[in-house]
Amino acid sequence: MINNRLKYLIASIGVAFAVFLMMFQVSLFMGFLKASSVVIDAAGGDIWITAHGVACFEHSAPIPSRIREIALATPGIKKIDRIIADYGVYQTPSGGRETILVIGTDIEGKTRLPLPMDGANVRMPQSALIDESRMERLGVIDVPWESEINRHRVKIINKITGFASFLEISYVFVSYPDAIELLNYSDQKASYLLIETAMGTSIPMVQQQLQRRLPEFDVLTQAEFSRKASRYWLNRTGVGNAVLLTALIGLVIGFIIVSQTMYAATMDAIEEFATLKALGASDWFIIKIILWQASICAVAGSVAGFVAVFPFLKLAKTVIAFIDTPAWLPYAIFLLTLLICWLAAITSIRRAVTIEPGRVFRA
Amino acid sequence: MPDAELAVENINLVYGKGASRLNALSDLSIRFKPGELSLIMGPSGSGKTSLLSILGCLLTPDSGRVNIMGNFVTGLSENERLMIRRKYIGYIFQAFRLFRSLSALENILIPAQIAGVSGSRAERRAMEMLEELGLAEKWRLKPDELSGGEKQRVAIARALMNNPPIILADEPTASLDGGAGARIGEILASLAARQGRVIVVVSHDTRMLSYADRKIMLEDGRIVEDLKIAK
Repeated sequence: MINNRLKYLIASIGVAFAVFLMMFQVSLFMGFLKASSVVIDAAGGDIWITAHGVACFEHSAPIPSRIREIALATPGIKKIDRIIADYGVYQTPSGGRETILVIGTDIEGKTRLPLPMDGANVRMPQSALIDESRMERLGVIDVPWESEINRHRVKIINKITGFASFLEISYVFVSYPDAIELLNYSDQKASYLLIETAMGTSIPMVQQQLQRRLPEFDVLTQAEFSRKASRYWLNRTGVGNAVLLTALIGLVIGFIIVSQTMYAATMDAIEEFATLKALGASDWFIIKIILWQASICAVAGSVAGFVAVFPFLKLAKTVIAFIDTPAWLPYAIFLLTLLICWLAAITSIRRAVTIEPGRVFRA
Repeated sequence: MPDAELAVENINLVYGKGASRLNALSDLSIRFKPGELSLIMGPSGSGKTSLLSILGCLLTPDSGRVNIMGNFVTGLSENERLMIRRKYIGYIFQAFRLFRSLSALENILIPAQIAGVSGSRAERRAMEMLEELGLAEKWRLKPDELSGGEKQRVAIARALMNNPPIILADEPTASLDGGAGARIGEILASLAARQGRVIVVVSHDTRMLSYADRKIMLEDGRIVEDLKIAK
């Protein structure tokens, strides 16, 4: 194939296209996966109590305040934080209305969810935080910014990162008391109870005891709730599968292009392979040559694909803020590409090793 | 180099079946001696190429025995046959069959790489052969940058790389002009006379007669003439 630079270029472009598509789609998928449980993962804690059947953080249902009292009486529990998550209406400066998800957390708790605080770590009342990717959508030009949620005045005191929702709806983080007020909750109820177990306590044991005491609620470990939420958004909405399917299409297209080009190149060089066999080359010697060519295609195509996709991902992140490219992804995609190029070489290998060496005196 | 031995005994080769059946070689026996350049001639379809393929361990006769350096190769597996080819036989082809993307030196190194030999020793030997064949200055050039005669000399160097006792050449001068053809003839004759190798050349080119020690004429798969040529 090295003889034919055009074929080599075509194969490399095919690989580059596949790498580009896979990197982009998998980044989208990983971002989607991460964003679908971002609040649950960030909140920490050991055990979540949710209303029965709650599939994800965004679709909450209220838990009466007495449930917290019952749970607190369970041995092995160190602390229970309340989290409120409910929809509200945000008024933009232009008079438009945006549906938002108000997330309020207990000020006494030590959750890792964003809380509006001042420099001395003291809660600031009637204040909120939003992800910087949502500023434009909510009409926030700069912080601090005065706005209204459910006709209550709220000051957005700062912007945060890492909480870009994959939904149309923006997350607005406030304190628990502010959430009660903004959402007009009548008593000290919550959407979720987040439990921190005492040191040395068996989490599954506490989970079982809680579930026995609260049969009408779901008691899940943090990992279980995170998985449940991700599965819900992936399967129920079909978005995740669609994204993965596109990545798979990229892979298949790359495979077909490389496979066809390598086969054509092998057929071009078939007399050279016959000569090698006549000279005493083993099948393995020929396989190594074709695998080497496939590897060159994989490397050249991957480099070109990565060079193209990284700036594109950066640009795409300004529009789709939740896109996430884990550090391992380029390595994984390169290894996958190498494997695909090797697999694509199988037909060529089969043709080259079965060539009859006797043709060298006839052709 | 041990006494080279190459012989076929009562070999038969048939192509096709029924009405299209063709006896390519019929009860053919020949022994090739070391230090001798044997020229196989004959009209098209006389069995020259089939014989050369059998001698080169590239084709198995339907019956008969083929002895290559004491190995009766007809019953061997493909892997064993390729080891015989690698160790005992050097090939020279009409169309050179050099690798287009490789330089002259790299082409010559191919048999060494196939045999698992690489490094500076192999390169030194390849360079020595290029020098011997008058191509020392052209080691970097690719086949497309060489003349026909130069290409065939590179092919000869490649055939000699693993120092095989047997050299088989198929129409080695067919694509060359008079001067280049004569040079190839001289080189092949010298490989037989000075180095004691078995050289078997299939050719239509009567110029080769002046370099040959023996002329074998084939017709319809049989030997019709086997002459020693006095020089």
